[in-house]
Amino acid sequence: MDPKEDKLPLFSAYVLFSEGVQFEAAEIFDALTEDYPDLDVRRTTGTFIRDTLCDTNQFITEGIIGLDGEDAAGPVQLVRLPGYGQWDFKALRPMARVNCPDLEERLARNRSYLAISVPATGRGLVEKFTAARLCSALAAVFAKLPVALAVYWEPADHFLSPEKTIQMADEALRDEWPILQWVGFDAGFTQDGSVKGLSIGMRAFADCEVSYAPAPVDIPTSVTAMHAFIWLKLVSGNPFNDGDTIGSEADAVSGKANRLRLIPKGKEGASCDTWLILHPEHKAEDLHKFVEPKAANPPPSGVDNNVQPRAGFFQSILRGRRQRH
Amino acid sequence: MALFSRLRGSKGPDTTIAKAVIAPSVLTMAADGRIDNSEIAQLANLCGFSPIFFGIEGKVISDLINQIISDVRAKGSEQVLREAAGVLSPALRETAFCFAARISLADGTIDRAEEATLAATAAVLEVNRDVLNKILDVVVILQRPANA
Repeated sequence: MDPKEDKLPLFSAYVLFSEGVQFEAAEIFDALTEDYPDLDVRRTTGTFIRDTLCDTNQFITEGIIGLDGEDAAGPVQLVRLPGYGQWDFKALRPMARVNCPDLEERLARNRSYLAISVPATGRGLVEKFTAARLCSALAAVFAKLPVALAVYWEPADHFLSPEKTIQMADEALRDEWPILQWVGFDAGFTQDGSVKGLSIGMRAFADCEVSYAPAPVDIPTSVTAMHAFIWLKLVSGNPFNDGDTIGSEADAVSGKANRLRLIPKGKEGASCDTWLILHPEHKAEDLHKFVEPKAANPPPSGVDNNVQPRAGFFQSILRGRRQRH
Repeated sequence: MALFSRLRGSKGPDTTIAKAVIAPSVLTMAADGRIDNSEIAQLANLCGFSPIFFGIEGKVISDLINQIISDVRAKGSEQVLREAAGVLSPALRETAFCFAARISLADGTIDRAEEATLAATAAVLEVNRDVLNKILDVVVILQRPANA
């Protein structure tokens, strides 16, 4: 097995400050439980857990909070290392900026940062969700400070305003998925004016990404289609097969539903499995490089093989897990 | 450097006094009908060395300037000046006048509009005539050119 695959998923957020902030790990735990009393977390004690005065103007390497409880994950690390925490606004993807208005001005005022990392305790979706939620809540604790400028959510490679960060944590605390904050989207025009797109960070939860093949649509259409796929896979728990169609019931009737093709990891350099959304008028001329042709296989007459979304699916798993403990 | 425990729950520093102190300066800047970026930069520099503005970020000061401009449009200059005088102690009214005089003399001269604004400002802020003259003398000394 690839050593990288052996590692448990890690969720990281960089909080950018207009000036240095001094804190102790114990204060952060107190703030976390004060802001989010519904989180079932307790501090552990152990030889590797230290109450050190951390200063984001200095290096921080020992800001570790060990937590127990239903909503705990792996040990939380609060870190500031040299050589990180600086971004060139002009070098950012346009869609890395959309969740943080005035980002250029905020980055110009960035004087200090803190990286928060939370590893999942397992590879299951619940463990990953729990770690992402804890990381979000900790980022929100810092985002509420008046000196907080922005948060870089590393798995999605995008920036969030302090308000969006707080919104992300609040949503996750309701057992809902803040997909637009946890997953980034990249969408843009090809040379012939088609639009193509790609998710960034879905792999942290489902070991795959979703891509929108070039098609004559607008950017919101491509992002909406990718977002819908992610929602169906993560929140609704719908299983997908290579060649399935995805869309509204009206799309299914009119034969205009998007088709899904699975590009396996390693194919043409794909670093993880990628679900490709094919619009009926897609312009993916090199599709044959990635997937074998697949003939349509409609159900027998009178058989309805449509699968409906299941809105409360993930919440039921999460609550079921809580009841078992 | 800020302590997490102090920052937590704080909405940022109270800017009431800071806003009142710079209000006469903003009115002086606007006396010629427009405010340019160099005037705002000069005011920001003045604020940077004043303990009144300690802990208040430059962005917040820019926002205060914009608020004062909006207030002037909504209420008129005299009302804005009276409200500023109402929240300032006599000592800070002198400081506010000193800021305004410094901004007026930033280019080394005072035009008629600026002179009239300064006179009106001194009256509303009830700055003692002797103190007023001292302030103007010091500001003129500060702004002497290299060939003086």
